[in-house]
Amino acid sequence: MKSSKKPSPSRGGLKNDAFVDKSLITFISVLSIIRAQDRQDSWIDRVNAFYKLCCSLFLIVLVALSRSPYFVFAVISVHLLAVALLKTASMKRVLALAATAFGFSCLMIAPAFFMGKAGFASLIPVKALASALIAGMLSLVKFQELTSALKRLHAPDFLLMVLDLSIRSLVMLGEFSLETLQALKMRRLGGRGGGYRSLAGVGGTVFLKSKEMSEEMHQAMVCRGFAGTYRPMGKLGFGLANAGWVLATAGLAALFFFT
Amino acid sequence: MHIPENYLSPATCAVMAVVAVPALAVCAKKAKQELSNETVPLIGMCAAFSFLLMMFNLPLPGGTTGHAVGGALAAALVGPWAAALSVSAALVIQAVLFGDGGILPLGANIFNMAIILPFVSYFIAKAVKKVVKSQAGEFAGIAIGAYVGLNAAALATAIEFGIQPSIAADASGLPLYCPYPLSIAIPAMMMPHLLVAGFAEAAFSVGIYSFIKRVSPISIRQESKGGNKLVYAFISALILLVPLGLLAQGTAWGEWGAEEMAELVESGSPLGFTPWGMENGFSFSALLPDYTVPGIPEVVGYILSAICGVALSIIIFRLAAGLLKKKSIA
Repeated sequence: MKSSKKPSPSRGGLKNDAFVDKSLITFISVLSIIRAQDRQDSWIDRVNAFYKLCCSLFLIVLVALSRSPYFVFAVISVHLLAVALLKTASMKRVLALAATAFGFSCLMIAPAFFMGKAGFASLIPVKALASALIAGMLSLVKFQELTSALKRLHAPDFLLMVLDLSIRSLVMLGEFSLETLQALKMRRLGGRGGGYRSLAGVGGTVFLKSKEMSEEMHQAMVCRGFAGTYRPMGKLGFGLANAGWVLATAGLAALFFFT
Repeated sequence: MHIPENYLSPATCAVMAVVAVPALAVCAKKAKQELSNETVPLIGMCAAFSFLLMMFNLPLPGGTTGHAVGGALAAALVGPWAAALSVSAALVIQAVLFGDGGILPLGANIFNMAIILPFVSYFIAKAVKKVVKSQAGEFAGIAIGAYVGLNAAALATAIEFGIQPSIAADASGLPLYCPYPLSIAIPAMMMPHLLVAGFAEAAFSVGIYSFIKRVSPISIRQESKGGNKLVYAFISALILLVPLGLLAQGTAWGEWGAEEMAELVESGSPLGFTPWGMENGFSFSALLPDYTVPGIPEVVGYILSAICGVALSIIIFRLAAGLLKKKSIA
């Protein structure tokens, strides 16, 4: 005999929709980060992506090699000053990224303190904070400019094209996934179970859509005669903003070698 | 599984980058050969798809949620070469744009999640499909492949973490980077992957694969011939990676030589003697003791030992297979 007990439409629905809600929030936050890239207009945009990329990579290596807390604190101080001059939205984003990296690192290193094996590793959370601030500042660079900077560093065209296409498709496919998840949430109103099956359906549809889009993209490329060769746009100047950025990095590097 | 900045020594990051970059170059070449002209757009779209897969939160027992990596699914859908490139592109975007995973350990993250996961899962799925030639066998292969592949990637990550105290320590022996040795890093990393994440990866991979197979079977990549070449390439890569074993100092637990026994530290004090049975027991002089060849550099000796081991294994298995074939004919 079948049970006549039906799930409560509101409570059951809410409880079982938690994974859909969480996915929706993740998609919205990622899409807002990518979209925010187009709206940036702060002093950091005046520094060329090429210098930012080279200086960031150089500083990340120095932070990883450093055993001096003074150097790491100097890197944090300089970057905090740079973050303080950003627009509020960008500042919040970089600080949130740095705080997450610092918190996660503290959590990972905590057992080593109790075991008495921390040693220099106790510096890791502070180093993680410094690296996250550097990476956070780099993440404010517009993706098109980053592609151009990578081209100046002689990255292969194949890699640049894959990265470029990925970031563009990420927005389109992300919006499509968001709509599909919202449709799933509306259809599941008051429903129970089938979590994996529903998500498998959404994931499968996203794959089919991505395949369709890649075919259209290939046809468009053929029509435009685009052979996948990139050229860096514009000349690489060395203005005041670029000089300031490079000098700050050089100062920090000097501190690394003399402490 | 994303390794953050400052947990691996710069030397380890450099070694992993040296391993990952040529591997990706080979993947790009093979993907161009296997797929048609539309390779690049497809890989770009697949990278976005892999990225998005990591954002789908799956309901897990106990009311929590988790996400899959998607490397096994990408390998099943577009093949391991394109999957490796797609997951790598997704990892680069995550590191640069979202700060998820470090920039220096990008080579290590690519090696673990974009190379080990798709290739291990692909080969296992292929082997299972060969034995059980039905749709159930195909799905079981993908599920087992995804579970084993994810755990293999987690094990590689744990080993990279775990060797840090041995290869990067200060004068007093205290670690400079990840402070946990293999004995802590492996269980801490493997437990959640063996118990939860592996099953989530398997369920998600089979769920999406079966949906696509039902709705649009033509969208799934058709198997190409010449699979044995892939296995040989994989074995060759492993042989070249063998010298990584030299990075770990000391002797494995329970594998001490008789001369090491007296200095063995147990519960804080040295053992102080060599057991009689070990000192006077049967002694066999191996041809290549400790995988080294007297008179030639250690790294070359290690690679030669690996080549000898693989060659002897192939010879023994082929001879045994020949004997079994003769018996069955008789």
